[in-house]
Amino acid sequence: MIELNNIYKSFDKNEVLKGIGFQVKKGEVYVIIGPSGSGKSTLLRCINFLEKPDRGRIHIGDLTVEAGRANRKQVSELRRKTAMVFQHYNLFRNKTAMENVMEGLVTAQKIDKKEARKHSAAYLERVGLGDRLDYYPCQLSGGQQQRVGIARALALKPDVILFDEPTSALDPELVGEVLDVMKSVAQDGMTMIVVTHEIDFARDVANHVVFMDGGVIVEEGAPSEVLEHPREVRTKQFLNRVTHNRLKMAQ
Amino acid sequence: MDELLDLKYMAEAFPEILRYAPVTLMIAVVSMLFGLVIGLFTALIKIYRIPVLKWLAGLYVSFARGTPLLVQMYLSYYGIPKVLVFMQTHYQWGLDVSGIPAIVFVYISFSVNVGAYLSETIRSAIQAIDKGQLEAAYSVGMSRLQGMIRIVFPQALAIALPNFGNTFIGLLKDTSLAFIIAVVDIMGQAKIVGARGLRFFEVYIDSAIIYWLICLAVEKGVTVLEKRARKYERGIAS
Repeated sequence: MIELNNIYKSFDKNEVLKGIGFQVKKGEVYVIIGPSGSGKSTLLRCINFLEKPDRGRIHIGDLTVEAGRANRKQVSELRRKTAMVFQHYNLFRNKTAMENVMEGLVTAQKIDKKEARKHSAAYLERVGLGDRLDYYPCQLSGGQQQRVGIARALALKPDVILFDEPTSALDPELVGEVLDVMKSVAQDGMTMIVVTHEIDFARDVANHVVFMDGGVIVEEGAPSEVLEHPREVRTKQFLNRVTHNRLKMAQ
Repeated sequence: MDELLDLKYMAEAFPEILRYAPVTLMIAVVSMLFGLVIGLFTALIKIYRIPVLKWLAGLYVSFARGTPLLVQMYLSYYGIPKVLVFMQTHYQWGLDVSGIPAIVFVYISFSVNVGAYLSETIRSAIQAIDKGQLEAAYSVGMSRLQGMIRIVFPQALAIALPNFGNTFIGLLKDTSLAFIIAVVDIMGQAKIVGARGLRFFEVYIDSAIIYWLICLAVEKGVTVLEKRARKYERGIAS
């Protein structure tokens, strides 16, 4: 189980997170939506300390990290229990798809190379890239790169995968293949925290939806409540805007 | 001695001068290697804005690039022994200062000089790698050092290689200054052979040809290295 307590984060004088807390149970898909600048990406990046939260507490399983007093060992422990899928994929450009997946296994988890290779090939197969093992990122489409990113995260066998707007940088026709992989990962029971603008994905896959704005959680609950019958005005406005944009794009 | 060029003299002098090409190459290669180490540390100090050191690094780069190499060579050749002798008489170091070969001062001044130029090349190359890849390295559990060595440096190297090649070629030619402090390299030997028959035009043509050939070889070598370092940017992996 993952629990965040009272997370605060400021950049200079700009307070981005104002005391966020939530719980994610094992196997749950937790979707965070909200306008840009609402702090949702920062929140996600605080969970694995890519951003150092100013205050608050993070529990993952038996590990508790206190924001102000986190030491190096705790941070690396936190990163061992999490994995991340990035908006811009962030694949290692000097490594093949296979090597991208292997890298963390070999250098961080100290798994035997041969073992890691087998393991990595299986995960790339799993995301439908069994025939692209030896391709470099620059030889793959955006959707394929992001699927490598997902394979890289899965292979680490983390307690939770953090998805940071995984489809926002993709051409519209490539979004589907990535969402499909994410859906199947969710069906396999992986715990996922997903920051996204894909409302349909949230509706279909999420167990819990959070609407964030201005550094606080405005509203949360089951997708059927938050997305279909939002109580807060800000949530309604946001959902209207998102659906409206999508309709415009569809035309 | 009435003809413009004594081709026979030129031909005979060529192998004699060529014999000293290894000295020139040695100066260039050793200085380049030390320069790369100095340049890397200077670049990292600047990138991570390490207090006090970053100020010193800035001063160093500015000085090394803002004063002539010849002056730096003299400073090294006359200055360092002076300081050593001073230390010796005051602190009784058991060191034979006059026993240090002149070429050591060439190595020092050239390394310091080229390190300053390389530091800027290295800094811009490292900063050209988007930091998302380093974040991804952290996210899979790698340390900063691992991420730097395995992900960032190889890509930065590919970017910096053409510049390294240029710097190295510049350095190779600058080594011709070394004979001024009594190091016998291509240039020093050319002077000696030229003085023997008072045939200076011939031997300088010889040395020009030798320098040129070496530079051509280096250019070729760099191109090959660059192709290898950038293999991830080209077609399907073999």
